[in-house]
Amino acid sequence: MITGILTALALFSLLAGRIPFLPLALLSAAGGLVLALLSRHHSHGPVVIDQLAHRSALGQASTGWKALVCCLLLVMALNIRHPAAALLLGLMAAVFTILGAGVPLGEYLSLLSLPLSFLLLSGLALLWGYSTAPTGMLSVPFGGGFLTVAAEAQTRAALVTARSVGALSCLYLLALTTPLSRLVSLLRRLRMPEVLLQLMTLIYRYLFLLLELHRTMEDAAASRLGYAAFPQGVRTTGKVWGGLLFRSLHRTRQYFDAMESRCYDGRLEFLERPLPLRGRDLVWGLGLMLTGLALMVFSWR
Amino acid sequence: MEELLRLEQVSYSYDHGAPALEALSVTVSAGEKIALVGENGAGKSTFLLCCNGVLAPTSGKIYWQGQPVGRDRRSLTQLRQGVGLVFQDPDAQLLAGTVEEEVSFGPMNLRLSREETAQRVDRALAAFSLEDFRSRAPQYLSGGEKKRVTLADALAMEPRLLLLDEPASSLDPGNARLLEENLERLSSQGMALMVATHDLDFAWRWAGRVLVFHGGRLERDGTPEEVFGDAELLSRCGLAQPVLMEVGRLLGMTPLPRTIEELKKEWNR
Repeated sequence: MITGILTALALFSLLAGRIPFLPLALLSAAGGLVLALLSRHHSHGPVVIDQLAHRSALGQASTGWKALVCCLLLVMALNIRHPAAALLLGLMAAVFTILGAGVPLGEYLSLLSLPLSFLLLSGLALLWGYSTAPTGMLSVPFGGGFLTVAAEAQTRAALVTARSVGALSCLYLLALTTPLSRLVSLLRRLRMPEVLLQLMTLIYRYLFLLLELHRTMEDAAASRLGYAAFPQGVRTTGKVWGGLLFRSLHRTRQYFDAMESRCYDGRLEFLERPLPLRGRDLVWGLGLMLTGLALMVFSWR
Repeated sequence: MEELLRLEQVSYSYDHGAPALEALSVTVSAGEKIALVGENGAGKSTFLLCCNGVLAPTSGKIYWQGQPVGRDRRSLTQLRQGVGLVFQDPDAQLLAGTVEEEVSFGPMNLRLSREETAQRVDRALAAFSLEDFRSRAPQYLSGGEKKRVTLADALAMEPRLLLLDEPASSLDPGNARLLEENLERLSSQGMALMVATHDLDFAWRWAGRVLVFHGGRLERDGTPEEVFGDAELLSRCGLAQPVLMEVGRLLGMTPLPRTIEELKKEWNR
């Protein structure tokens, strides 16, 4: 709800004065509403990302190649000098992720909504300034002076936001098609220190167990009317979190025992089957990069 | 029978607590089928963790194939390689991104060559018909499939003795039957099995030897007939007579039927 209102406000100030009032107001309201609706299921976000990555049609593509393509696209997105080109690049990556890698549109948008609203909100800080006179595209009297939105601020905020959105969807192309274990093994080949890799693997794995434990405990509390009214809800939340701490400490011991029982000696390694670079992966990767490059060069002129 | 594991006067207490195991002595020989029974908190799980070297006994000694097991890395690795442990909660055990990687964790820790590791993983996956799940994420499998993966985990280390902590506790009847078939197969291949269970009918039908735990003590170590024939022991340790044994007794059968099939055969004669 708050996300929606703030998003609408950000959209409104971003485009104020550039398009007529009525369409602007409608557009902002629609944008806010869409984000508010999309951002309802976030507690399952990490699980959804992981499931999508495991099911992805690009799961068998070489991890190194995917990472290379996505990193280069990311660099391009950040160097584009026109908001429309950055958005186009982002759209291209998004369309490829949805059609090429088989990520359902609804899931994609829902996952995008959280960072997107965050981006728009930080856009607010870039947009609004303080001045003594009512200048710029928008101004609101405030404490003896005026809160204003300058035209340059709009241009700057639009570029920054568009670049971030572009970069974000490039990153999603990697994140939604590659399970973490594959990324870890890529990083291992790139000589990342072992202790970091182990931490990544273990934290990632146990994050999910913790989320599930949390959900179970919350459901159990809700079934006993723990959230029936606000004061009860606050109390229950505290108890659930306290219980979660206790249970997770207890479980840590179990997990470590289980690893010990299989001769764990400080090295967390698995048998990996290297994924060869296939022709079709080469084709889509090069296609995406060439288009990105063209967009970037075009935006420089 | 060749001796595998011997515990002598082993005691264990969790930090600051009452002893969870008290002066326990057991010898396990190759190829045995042992059921561990007793109430919740009787010490079965602690016993299994001690057998695998995860918990160090507070006092007493453990011998693996006649050799005393110390707390040094080498002898612990030797013990854990020889004694596999399957935990009750599969989620406590699963940690890799795919089933194949998951099963490879143990062999990788044994510092085997890549080829040997790959072969062992293949054999373990085949043993539990998990080939099709090879590149699936173990977290998203069903309960029965997860259990099979954890069995393959242990099998890939090619242990001589396999410990299972309430393996059927979260399985539906179909998967429980499958598990029993798998246990039967492992046992026919000469692997010694030790299963902690609350399913007394299973213990009666399957085990060749039953260990009764009560309050951290080993109350009885005997054949199923001895253990389940002792009414006083059963009531003291919160156990009951297996249904088939009771039926067999009512019908005056000797020997007492272990399975429905045996009962039918006796009945029809």
